[in-house]
Amino acid sequence: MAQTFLNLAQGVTGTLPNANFSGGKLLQVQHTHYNTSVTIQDQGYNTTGVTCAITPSATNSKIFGMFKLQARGHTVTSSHEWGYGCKVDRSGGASGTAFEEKGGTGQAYSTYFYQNADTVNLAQHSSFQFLDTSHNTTSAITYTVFAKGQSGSQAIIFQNATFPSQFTLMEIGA
Amino acid sequence: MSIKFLTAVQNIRPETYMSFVEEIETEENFKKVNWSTGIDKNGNTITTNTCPHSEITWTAVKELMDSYD
Repeated sequence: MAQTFLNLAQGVTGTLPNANFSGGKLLQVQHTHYNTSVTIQDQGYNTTGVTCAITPSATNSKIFGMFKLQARGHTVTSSHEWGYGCKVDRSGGASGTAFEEKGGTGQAYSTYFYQNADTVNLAQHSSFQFLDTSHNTTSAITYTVFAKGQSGSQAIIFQNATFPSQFTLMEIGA
Repeated sequence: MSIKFLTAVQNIRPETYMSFVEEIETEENFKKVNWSTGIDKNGNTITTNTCPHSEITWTAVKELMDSYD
């Protein structure tokens, strides 16, 4: 298909109507920074306290999410094994799970550590991304990050020592 | 301090499931711990602020925490 290039530096004044542009525009960005520690020692999902809210401007837009979880692994037994899985649930204008990193047992978690030695403590951060194409709302949605431990005998201290976790949401036009 | 708390609970009752915000240093904080009582159909933990394990009391936990100093 032939392309026509428009020289925006010449001959164009005022605001161009949206109809002149195709989809894929970045419509808005929301960002949160959270540094209150939350400790989880559980194999069921608990909130990490990390949330981010956005009010979509259209029901058919896409919400691209990126979050970084900062965590300290604390092994309170001699298992020397640590890891966690996470998911993002929606509340408000939309519900359900927008993202889930499945985790079973042992090394089934992407954030995982094993050492066959004395007690292990470590601090690290992991990053995740998701694309929500099914929110179907223009009401405010809150996305909350939940996490669960790889085993019941070790703890995950998110945002330990006030090191922050961060969450960014971008609304992309359809 | 959260590590002392975790260690104390672990020594009283291994593999106790819970979560909490910030540090557990006082009985008032202890009453805010989310103790797990099960998992719902979505994989989320069902919690209570009343510890369901009779052997885990603030007195017992505090005594152990103090012994780690």
